[in-house]
Amino acid sequence: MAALVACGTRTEDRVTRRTAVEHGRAIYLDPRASPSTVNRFACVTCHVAEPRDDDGKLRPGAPLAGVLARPTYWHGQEDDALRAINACRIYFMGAQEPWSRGDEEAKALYAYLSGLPASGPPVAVPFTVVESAVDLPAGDRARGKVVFDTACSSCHGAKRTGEGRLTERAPKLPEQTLAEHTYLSPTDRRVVFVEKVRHGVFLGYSGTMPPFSREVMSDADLSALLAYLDLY
Amino acid sequence: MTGRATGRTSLGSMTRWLLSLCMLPALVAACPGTETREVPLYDPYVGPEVFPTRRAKLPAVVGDLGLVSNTGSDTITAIDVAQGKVLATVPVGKNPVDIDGTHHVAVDRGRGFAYAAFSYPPSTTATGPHASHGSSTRLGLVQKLRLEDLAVVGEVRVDPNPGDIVLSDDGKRLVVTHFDLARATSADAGTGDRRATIALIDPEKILAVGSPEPVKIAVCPAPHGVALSRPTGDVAYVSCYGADAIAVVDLTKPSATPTLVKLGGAAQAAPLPAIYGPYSAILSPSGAELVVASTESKDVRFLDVATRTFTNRVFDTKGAPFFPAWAPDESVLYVPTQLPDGVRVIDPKTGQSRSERAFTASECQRPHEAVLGTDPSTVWIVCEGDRKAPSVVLGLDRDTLATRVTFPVGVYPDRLILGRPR
Repeated sequence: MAALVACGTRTEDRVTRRTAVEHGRAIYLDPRASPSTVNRFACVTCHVAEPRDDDGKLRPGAPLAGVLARPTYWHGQEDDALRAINACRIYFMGAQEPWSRGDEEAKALYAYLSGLPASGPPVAVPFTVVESAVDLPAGDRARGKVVFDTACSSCHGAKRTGEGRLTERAPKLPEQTLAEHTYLSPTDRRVVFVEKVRHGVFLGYSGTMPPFSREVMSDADLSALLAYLDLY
Repeated sequence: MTGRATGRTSLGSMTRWLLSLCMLPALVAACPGTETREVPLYDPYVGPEVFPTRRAKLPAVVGDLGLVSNTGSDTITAIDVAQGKVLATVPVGKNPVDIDGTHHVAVDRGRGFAYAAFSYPPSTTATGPHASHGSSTRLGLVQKLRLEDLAVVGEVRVDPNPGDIVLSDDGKRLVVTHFDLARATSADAGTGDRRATIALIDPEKILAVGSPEPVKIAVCPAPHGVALSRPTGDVAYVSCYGADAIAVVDLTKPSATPTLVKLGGAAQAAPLPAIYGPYSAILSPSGAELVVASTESKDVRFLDVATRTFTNRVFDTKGAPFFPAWAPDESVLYVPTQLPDGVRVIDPKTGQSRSERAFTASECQRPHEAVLGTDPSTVWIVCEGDRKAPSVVLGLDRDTLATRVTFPVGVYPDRLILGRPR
């Protein structure tokens, strides 16, 4: 366990006992909540659990404080919190198998989530899936930069260069996505961005991106994003 | 995002760590400078059951328990038939956004489980440049549901496009057909085989994780309806829509070639459309005959089970017949039809119409199935509706066909299964 890198730069492991709650928070912060070797998403990529995690980013997932008391998740398609979590792990994080209630990771995450103070009444968080991806009018470019910086850049990196992106699997925007759809008309190529934002990995698309509901990102903000990405 | 260890500390790793501690003084003496890395050792969770099920248990049902699969809303509706009450409509399926396509359901009330098949639709309701990509080739799914609250307790993958799911009377064989029209119309590149399979599943082996692969039997092009011999389901009678035939499958010998019994002499010029289009196969209460409803030729005909030949009785049903129901004494058949939408009561020996009722769109759009339960005076009709809005299950007086009760259910219901009282 004591890892000796080289004489003069020695690393010493120090084992520290931690609680199950701390274990749960570590899981929340760690992409290894999925055993997939290519996954770079953690729970915190899409959800805020505590105020200290709120860095001003626009996250597609609902806040986690109070999550266990909500009656349903995923627009009413799940009423079991563990199944809702497993949906994230499988569709976004590349896990092949769901956690069961007996898995230590699931227990630790439950310990952490159950200790978060509820931020409101136990009601389902609205999550309207926009099924019809249609062209939108150009929005405000300045607003679009804000949308890009808060909603897109943490995974896709900087506009055009992709610098700082979370994973190379996240395309550089917009060029890489445009290049993958040269067979489409300019309008349809723009609709691809609408489709990807609204559908994510679902509804006939692929990949690992989560969808942004209308409550999280309005059509006006999406229009602004399209303008900022120079898609008109 | 941080990359801390998540605490998978085992006894072996602890031992190695302690051994390394013993060696540490000598190593430290040899090297100047130390960086310390924290390795967390997490305490196990101690406390109440994690993620407790909050779904309410279904109320106790004395008579028939009805379960309705709602294809368009990924839900199952539970009904207390005798009390005339909808007990609950609960979400099922795996995908939280796409339509999983809840397609038919089977029930084993004695053991306390239901089994729902999911047929991911060939195109979604969504629009967009990618919205219709490849869905028809997505694998199907069977979920095992705990009957007390319809919570998912297990699942197993099956082939694309599950068509029907039935359970043997003894509860030991679960059979799923695969209504794979895409395969039926475009010959498989490698073998030219247009046949799809039926999946043979041991219900006890449907697990939460790691269910064994079902036994698959290649049967015929686009198999849809299936009936099992009683009580153990040794033989499956499968309506082969794409072959205009009934396949007789010996489930005790999965490697044996099924026997195909053609519906008639007319020969198909191309794989599809079918000339007859046998869609459903329902065994009579005595087990002596199989009624086969064909949606293309719009008729019902009868297979003699003993001789495995069709009788000469073929009765026009005007509209396309879907899933008929036998009266317990086999004196009549209740036949739901589409275009025109209605239900006909016919004598299975003579074809004489005893009564019939046409439905308006507001009463029952696209009647899909007729079902009889323990209530001797009611026939239940599952109405698909417009496949976009919630629809209904109607309870009709068996004699007059007047509506006695209406159950609101989900979008595009396609199966009512009745769990008989234990």
